[in-house]
Amino acid sequence: MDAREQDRPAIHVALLPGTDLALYRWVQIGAEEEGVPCRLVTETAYDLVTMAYEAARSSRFNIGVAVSPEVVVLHERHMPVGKPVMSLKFSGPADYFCRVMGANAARMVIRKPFRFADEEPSPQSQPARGTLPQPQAYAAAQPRPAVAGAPIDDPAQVAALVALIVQKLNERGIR
Amino acid sequence: MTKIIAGIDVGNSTTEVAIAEISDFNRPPRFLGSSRVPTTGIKGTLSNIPGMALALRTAVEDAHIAITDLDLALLNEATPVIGDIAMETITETIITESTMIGHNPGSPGGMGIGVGQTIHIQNLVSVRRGEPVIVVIPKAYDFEVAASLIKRAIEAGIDVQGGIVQADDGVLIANRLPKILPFVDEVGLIDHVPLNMLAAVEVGDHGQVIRQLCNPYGIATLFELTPQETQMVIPIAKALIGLRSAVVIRTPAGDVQTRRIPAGTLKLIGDVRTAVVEMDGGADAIMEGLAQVGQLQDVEGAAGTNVGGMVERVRQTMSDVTEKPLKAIKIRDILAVDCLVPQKVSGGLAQEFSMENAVGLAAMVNTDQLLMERLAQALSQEIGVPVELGGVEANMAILGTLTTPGIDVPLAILDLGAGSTDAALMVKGQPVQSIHLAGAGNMVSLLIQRELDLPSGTNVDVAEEIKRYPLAKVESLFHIRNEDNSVRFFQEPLDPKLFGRVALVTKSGLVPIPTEHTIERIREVRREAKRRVFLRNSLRALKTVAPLGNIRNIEFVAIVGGSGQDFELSQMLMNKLAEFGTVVGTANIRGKLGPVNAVATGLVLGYYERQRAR
Repeated sequence: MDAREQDRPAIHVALLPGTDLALYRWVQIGAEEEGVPCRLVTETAYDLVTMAYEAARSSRFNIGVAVSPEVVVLHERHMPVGKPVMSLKFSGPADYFCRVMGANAARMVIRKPFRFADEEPSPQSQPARGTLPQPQAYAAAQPRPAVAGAPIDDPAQVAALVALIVQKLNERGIR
Repeated sequence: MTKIIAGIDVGNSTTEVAIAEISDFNRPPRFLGSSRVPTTGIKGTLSNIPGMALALRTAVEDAHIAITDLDLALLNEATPVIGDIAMETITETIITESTMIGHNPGSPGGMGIGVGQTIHIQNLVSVRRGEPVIVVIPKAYDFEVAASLIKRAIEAGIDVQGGIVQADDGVLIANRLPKILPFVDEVGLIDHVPLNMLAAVEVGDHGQVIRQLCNPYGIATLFELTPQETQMVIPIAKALIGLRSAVVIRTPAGDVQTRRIPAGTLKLIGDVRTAVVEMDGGADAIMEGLAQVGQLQDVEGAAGTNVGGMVERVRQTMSDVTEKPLKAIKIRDILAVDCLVPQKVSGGLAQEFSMENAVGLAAMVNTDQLLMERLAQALSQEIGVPVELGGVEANMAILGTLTTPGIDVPLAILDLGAGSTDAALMVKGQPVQSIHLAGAGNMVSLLIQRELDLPSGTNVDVAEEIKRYPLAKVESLFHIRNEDNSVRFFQEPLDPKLFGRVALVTKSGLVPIPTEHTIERIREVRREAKRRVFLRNSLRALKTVAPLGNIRNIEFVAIVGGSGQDFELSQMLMNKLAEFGTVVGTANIRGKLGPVNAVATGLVLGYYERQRAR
């Protein structure tokens, strides 16, 4: 990383030792959605909140995020060290909470209201990321027949229609 | 002989009490205490009793006496009016066969415009090289999977022009592609998007809105339409104006319509003549009709139409509370106000809203004295103190207003309440002229609520709060910017829930408003609502009581009533009435209470005057 790259404003994200690097990626994706760059930094603090604060101090946006295997913390330079802006405990899939926190870090920069984990649809209901969808998931989205009006779902109705057509064909002697 | 008297004024929204001691008739009454509590139930009904009892208890506490010390309670005679409000939209937008998606997702992806056949992402591999396509991506596809599939397709020579995404992943997909393509996201009902149809996707540049799809000729160019077909797409183009992202799909029979709901006609029956007005003509046509008919006797709406239902609802409510037959309820004034309200588009795929025309109507009926007599009896039983009816409301309001320092007759008062706007004029040696008009504070709240599409029916009425308090935007955790652009800093960090939001600056602190609207929009809607209800009604009311019907003949106007406490209304009125050379000011009852308690104070003073005259 050259000096110019290090100088460019970005949200600084620090990981507590032993935290999966993938969680940084989710923070980054959350911030990317809002269009704000992120950078992974190394901070020396032992506790997560202080680490987030140090990350905020080193960021030119004054905003830092620290991630541990259980908690993600958002901090801002002007806040008291011991009082982070927001902290989310992973009560579901960690990637979801990291993504929300990434979005919130970005929202601090662009001054949009935060997302709160409890306002979101339950993360469990979202499909597992990175897996290919099951075939039946898109069966419903198959092209619909180009029949005018609503498609007919009721089998009895279809049967009645078929009978009617057969009858008409019989009448005309086409059968 | 010393008597302790309480004046009680039951209003549409608050019940006010003034308590005074009258020791002898050569000295003016000595006021001991006062109170103001919310009215329980609709004005003039027995359900007012709990509110009146609470108001009395609060006032005697303020006066350091007991309820049993009271010798007499006075109620204003024949509460003249009760009001009701209703609103109906007169246009609606309908999309058939899912021909259009137009909304403002937080973050659409990429930018530009793309035209091609809609195709499900799973079928991307079977597309011929060079064929232009619009990819439809359900949320079962992770953004990375979707992006890599599209990337591979582009590399294989398929002409991907853009995409329609169900999840909030537009930016993420767009960022992972080798070229910049428009992606519209947050399309909830993606499985309703017709496949294998020609479609156009447009995403505006940052900070800008779409250009091509909101232009009928733009759509015609993209879809190679004939002049006849171009005429058909006008409603589509109109519905997409001002949006950040949009999709238009060409289906054989699909259409977007702006339908005028047959709103019906309103029959205004006056003492001079009767006028029939079309609701479609909007509020101005109604108010013009109203001016022509003279003194309004009653209003009828055409049966089976929206307005018919609206008028009947008002009548039904009034009939229920007054326990009079429906036929006996006569509407004595209406105020119509035009507004634009966001309505969900029927047939929309992404929770689209469009701004539709609506008319709000405030109506007012006269009640009779019997109701107040019944109320006086019930109250007397409740508190064990004799209760009397003590004089016409307008006269009492003037008597109360005269306790304002620096005020003298001739004087006009404007009583801006919650349910009605009243005016009264007092000239020496002449009877007091008074008028009650429909539409006041409650109407303003309704307009704010509907125009900003705020949640209604919750415990805290957001619209009511917006009406009362100035706005501020929380710009950082340590500072806010007020609506006049001044900045205020805080020592302690603010609640993160406030960050980035528009909040109300109340006495108890900042209250975030649960809406996405900008501070400018909320402010404009709030001020416009006040202008359309209070300014219009004030002018109407003053014109009626003014000598020769000319406001210029009134020199002094004092504002009283709950809405007189509004932080901006008196300035707005002052600005307007300055044109007529009239002096307007907010009353200060008894030199300390501000614009409230005028009637309650006047009731006590009226009793004192009557006793002294004896």
